[in-house]
Amino acid sequence: MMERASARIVWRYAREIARPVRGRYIGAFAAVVASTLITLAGPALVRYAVDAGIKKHALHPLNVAALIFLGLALLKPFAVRAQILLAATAGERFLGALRTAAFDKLQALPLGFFEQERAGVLVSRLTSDVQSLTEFVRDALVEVAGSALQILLTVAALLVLSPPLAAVSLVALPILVVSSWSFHHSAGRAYHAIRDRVAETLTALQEGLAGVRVVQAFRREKRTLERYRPRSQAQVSAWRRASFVNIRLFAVLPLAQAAALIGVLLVAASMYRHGSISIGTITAFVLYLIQLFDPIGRFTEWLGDFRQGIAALAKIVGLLEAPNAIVESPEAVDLPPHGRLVLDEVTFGYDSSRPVVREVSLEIEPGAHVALVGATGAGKSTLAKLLTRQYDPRKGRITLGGVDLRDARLESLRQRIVMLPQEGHLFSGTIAHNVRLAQPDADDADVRNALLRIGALERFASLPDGLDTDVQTRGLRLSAGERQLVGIARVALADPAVIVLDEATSSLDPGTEAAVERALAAVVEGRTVVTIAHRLSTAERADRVVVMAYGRVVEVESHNELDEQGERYARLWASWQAGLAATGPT
Amino acid sequence: MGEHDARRRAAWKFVRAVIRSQLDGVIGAALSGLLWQTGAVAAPLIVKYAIDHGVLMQDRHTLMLWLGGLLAVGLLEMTGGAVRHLYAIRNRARTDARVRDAIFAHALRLDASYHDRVGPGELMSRASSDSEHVARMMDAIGHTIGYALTVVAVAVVLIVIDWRLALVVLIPLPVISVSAWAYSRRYHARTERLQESWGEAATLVEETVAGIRVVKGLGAGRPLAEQFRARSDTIVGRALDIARLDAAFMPVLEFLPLLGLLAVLWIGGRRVVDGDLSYGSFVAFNAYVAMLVWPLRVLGQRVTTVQKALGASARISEVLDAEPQLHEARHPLELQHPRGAVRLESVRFGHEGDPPILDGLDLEVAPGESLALVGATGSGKSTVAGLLARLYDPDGGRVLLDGHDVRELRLSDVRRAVALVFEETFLFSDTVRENIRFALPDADDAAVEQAAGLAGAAEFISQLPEQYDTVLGERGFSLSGGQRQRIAIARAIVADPAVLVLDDATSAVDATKEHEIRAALATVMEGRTTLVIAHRPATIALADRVAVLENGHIVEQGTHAGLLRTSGRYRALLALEAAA
Repeated sequence: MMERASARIVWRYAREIARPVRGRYIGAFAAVVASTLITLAGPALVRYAVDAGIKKHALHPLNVAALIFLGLALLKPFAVRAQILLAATAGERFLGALRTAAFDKLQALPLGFFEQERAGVLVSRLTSDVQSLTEFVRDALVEVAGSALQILLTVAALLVLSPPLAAVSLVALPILVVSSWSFHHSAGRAYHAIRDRVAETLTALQEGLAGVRVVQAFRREKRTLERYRPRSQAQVSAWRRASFVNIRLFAVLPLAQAAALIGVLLVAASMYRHGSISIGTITAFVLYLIQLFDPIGRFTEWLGDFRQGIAALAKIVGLLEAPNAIVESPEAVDLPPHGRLVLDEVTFGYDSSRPVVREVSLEIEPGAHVALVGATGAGKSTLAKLLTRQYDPRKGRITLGGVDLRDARLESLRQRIVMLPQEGHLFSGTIAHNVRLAQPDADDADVRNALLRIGALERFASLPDGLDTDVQTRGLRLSAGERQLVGIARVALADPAVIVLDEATSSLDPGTEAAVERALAAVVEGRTVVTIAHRLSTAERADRVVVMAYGRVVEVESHNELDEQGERYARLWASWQAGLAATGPT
Repeated sequence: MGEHDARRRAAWKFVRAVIRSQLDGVIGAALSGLLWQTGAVAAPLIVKYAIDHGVLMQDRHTLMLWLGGLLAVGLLEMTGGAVRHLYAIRNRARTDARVRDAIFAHALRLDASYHDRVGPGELMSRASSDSEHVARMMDAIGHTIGYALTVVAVAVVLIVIDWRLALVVLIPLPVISVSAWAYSRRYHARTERLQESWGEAATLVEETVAGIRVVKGLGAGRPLAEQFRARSDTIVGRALDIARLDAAFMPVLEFLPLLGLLAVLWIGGRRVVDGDLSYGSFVAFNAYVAMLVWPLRVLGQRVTTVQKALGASARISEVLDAEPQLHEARHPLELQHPRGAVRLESVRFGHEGDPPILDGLDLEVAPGESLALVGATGSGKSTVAGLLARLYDPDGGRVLLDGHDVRELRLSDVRRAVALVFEETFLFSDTVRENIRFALPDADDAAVEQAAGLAGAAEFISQLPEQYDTVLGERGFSLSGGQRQRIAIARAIVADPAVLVLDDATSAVDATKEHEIRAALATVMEGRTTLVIAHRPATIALADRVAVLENGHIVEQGTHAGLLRTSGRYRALLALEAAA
């Protein structure tokens, strides 16, 4: 399951992903500092104009101050503009890098992960979580720096103006410390809860929308909504809890400000009575003190964004940190284009204590067709996953042309060994787009060729829009058989050395069935094929049949030999024949 | 342009509806926002009086009085600020939920033909990402009103102090705000485009996750990652298009108050020197114009927030305004005890732009009779199934259930009478038990187990880690296609429909296993109108009658055995010529 990552790991990832845009962030910080300094220069210029000009009835200093002010005012829009552009570019690129890293990660995760984790959660990690980071990486990060600078400079001004009064204004400090401690104590949990609720809501949505036809067919619209609503409400409640955490921090600010002002004015009054402070100093001090709480207020509001951002980032990093099924070895080599496929004492279990495949040894000559048969749970599918290196064996090894799959470059592995699953999953887009799913560089001629080779070109080319026909959502415009044909065409285009075929159990109408059979026969020609056979007629055609039971290979023979001497296999075969005879056509 | 205006109008209408639906929250946020900024505006004034009348006059009593006032104002600001924040977050979260709930509820009402076009990824993106923009607008209301008040209050104070100087300082304000509003309209279209690219990215993620087995098996990960990178880059590009608007627009807003300060300094300063303006007024002007900086900046941002919300609203109302093609009759007939007489009369159906799939189809199934519908791929068999359950309406002709046009019947009655088992099985992330009693949540365990038994699913369910309490994923916790189909059949059996439609429902069941459940199917079909769409001769043979669908209509009817004897076409269709 996905965990949220610890703060240290989150920062490591954040730094890593931010590296390419570091320069822009630094530029944005510089622009913020410049525009903050311009803002702060205003009162100083006014002071100069008053003290040197207005009080002395001298126009020249006033003009000078006004001229400098004008110059700074003219600079400010450029600083702001630079800040916006740099921070936006840095932030958006950061988010882009983050979501592509998360998408890449999907490809590296083991298949088991997708069985445990609901699709909605994954979609929410890559969309909603990333999006909720926008404020944080674009504005908060940069603005916090500006606010912090303003706070520091104002505090410095207070200290210069009157150290005793500055000390008095510290009465606000305990209030601030207590409230921010209380905020940080609860904010993490509150914002993580929001992200969790968002994921749950999106999951419910995703499932209801993906299964909308079933929901409607069984008129369960109301119940589906009833089951979704509490989750949606839980998200509202999570936000409310977070809002109560937030106000601990920034609602207290005005009180802290009032406390500081009251303390300062009380002390200032007595200092004034004793003649130890001028009225000008008091006025300036109070003005600065009021100004100080402005950036503090903004600072705390950004902190809210910050906490929310950290929570979302932790969720995404949690996904990035999930263990990969397999890793490419640094000294990986290309797999040879052909060669013998050898399994040597291969043992594997998803859980190390319960092997699903036990000490399987097999040698498959190039171009040989092997059928794996056995009851559900015998380990056929798991063996297929090992052959395509979705997982690595816990013991033993699998080699193609003498190269251990673990030593192969992943790209060459995916090129040489492909898995053809039974369902023909389509992406939205055209038929051609779907055929070139794994080979985006293939041109139209290649696509037509692949379809031609498997004998399916005419079927698709004769559609009104030909290969440019939009298959629509999940390929509903195409029949199951046609979707399988597209799947087979993908493999024909990929031109692999080894095909691991999870045989379609579905019975198509005989016409399409024959087309699919022909397509398969064409695509397997001259390649090594391992078929997870659901039909014994497939086994009949294979060069060799491997019977699996309880994770072990129990018999390996050609079909005829097996039929004569095999026990389990003969039983399976007999029951199949009996089934045909009992209800068959003749 | 016309379409663009229509979208804008729809967006405005939606935004108004959202505000109206949360009027209490909006008013609460506005009032607390006023309170909050009243405190903020009053505090400097009170400090001024405390200094002038308390500190300078060395009047301890007056000082304490003003300091008490300062504390009161601090408390006021604190309370107002806290309440404003609570309202802001409440408005935000509730808006988000309302938009999302409305989209979901409406999507469940929209019929199959809409969902054929618009996939779950696209709808999810509108229910989460677009709703977020509208929610942000609602979040900002209290803030915005508070800051707007500050600007107005400051303007009034300035005019009272010295109207001539105030005029110079304030004149750019209306000019800027009007042009800002006009300029900000550009955010609308750009936001829509950005949101569109988010939708496309979400769709790709959704499809990749849904088809992960195919993706991994084929090694399509890299090209898909390239595709995703391209869509992600589009998002970055379009987000930066908006940032470029910010970069043109925001600096102007920052510049304006500085011009005001400059005017105060130079014009005001000269007038002080000339003795035309008091020094106190000069100081006050400085303080107050400085107070405008932050509110003006925020107000400028809010203009864009509203425009972004409008852009997102246009996309949301696109979904909410989509009309279901299927309408329940105004006064629907009830169908209490369906007998299950099914009749299709000259039914025509086609996807827009394509040649019709069904063209003058006539078909009749008597109550309790079972009919196998046979035809080549694409002959429209599944369309017939969808028409019976009224997932679609025919373009021409009628579909009759117990003698009534299904369009005149209550929709829920039709769907209760007709249970559909799809070829593509969709299971929900829930226990096996809940999945089986999906259509009838009150069904007891015995009924669930009986249905599972009839569907030939009891055996493998008993081997699952937690039997009927095992939680399945959408794609079914490691269940094979055949096992999932058997659960789907059990689901239909629990519904106990008058008409059962098995649309290739046993296609993924192992041939050997199908043999086992065939007897069970025969029991289920007994006394129940059943339409079987299948290809295996043994399954077809279960039906009383067979109808052959070709070129959009029924070309032959008869018993399986009879057609086998007499019809070459039928034998060819079942590819038995060679086998026989």
